[in-house]
Amino acid sequence: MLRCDAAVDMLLDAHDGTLSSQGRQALKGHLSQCPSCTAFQRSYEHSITLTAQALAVKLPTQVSARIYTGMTQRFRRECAQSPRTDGGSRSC
Amino acid sequence: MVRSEAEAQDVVQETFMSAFRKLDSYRAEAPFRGWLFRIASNASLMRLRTRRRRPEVSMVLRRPSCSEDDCHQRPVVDLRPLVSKSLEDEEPGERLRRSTDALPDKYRSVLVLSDFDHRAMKEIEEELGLSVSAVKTRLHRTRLSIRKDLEGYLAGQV
Ligand SMILES: [Zn+2]
Repeated sequence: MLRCDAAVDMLLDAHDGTLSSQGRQALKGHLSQCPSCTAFQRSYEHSITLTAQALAVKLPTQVSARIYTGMTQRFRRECAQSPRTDGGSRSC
Repeated sequence: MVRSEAEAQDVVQETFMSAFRKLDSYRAEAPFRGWLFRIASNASLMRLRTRRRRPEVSMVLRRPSCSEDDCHQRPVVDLRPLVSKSLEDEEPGERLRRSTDALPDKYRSVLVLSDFDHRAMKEIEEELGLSVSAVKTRLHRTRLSIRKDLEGYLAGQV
């Protein structure tokens, strides 16, 4: 039977759906007999979900305000530096 | 992908400036969000590349390792109680963000692109100039490390 460490190393491909059918069989067989690895797989999946949630934090209003101010200043600066090619008025 | 708030602000600015400049290259049939995301992650990666390299830290493989007859020396902690929580301002979310912040750049970028950005393996490979197996190894180590940290956090709660 597959060892636990080998089973754990298959979890990435299992999560991706890229595990070979042979690998899937072996992992399935192992999990059906190893409650610890079954629990491990569950916690592996949960931790992926949690990472996505934790990283998707909202931008604090102050931060977005500072970004906006910074951007307007950069737009003005870049615009002032860009040469006019058409002889007309600048669009920015 | 970047670490500090100041850096993130610069990246956002750079993203919108660059998006504005590249607007001609945007194809209307492609999702705008994805297009903008790509520009943002390019801007972050550029920043990571130009930043002075921090000393390379190697990551320990934090999965159960098998001895003669025993593999899981400790019981596996169920992380389900955390899944139902809002991670926005709460402690576990903070803890997780700290764990990801502490990761060496090369591991953090893979994690963010894969598990936050939901990019395909192929894209990550191309973006970071790595082989599939390198991306997978890094991602696996990083996920196991985050999982272990969360386990530690929950175990400390009891
Ligand atoms: Zn097992």
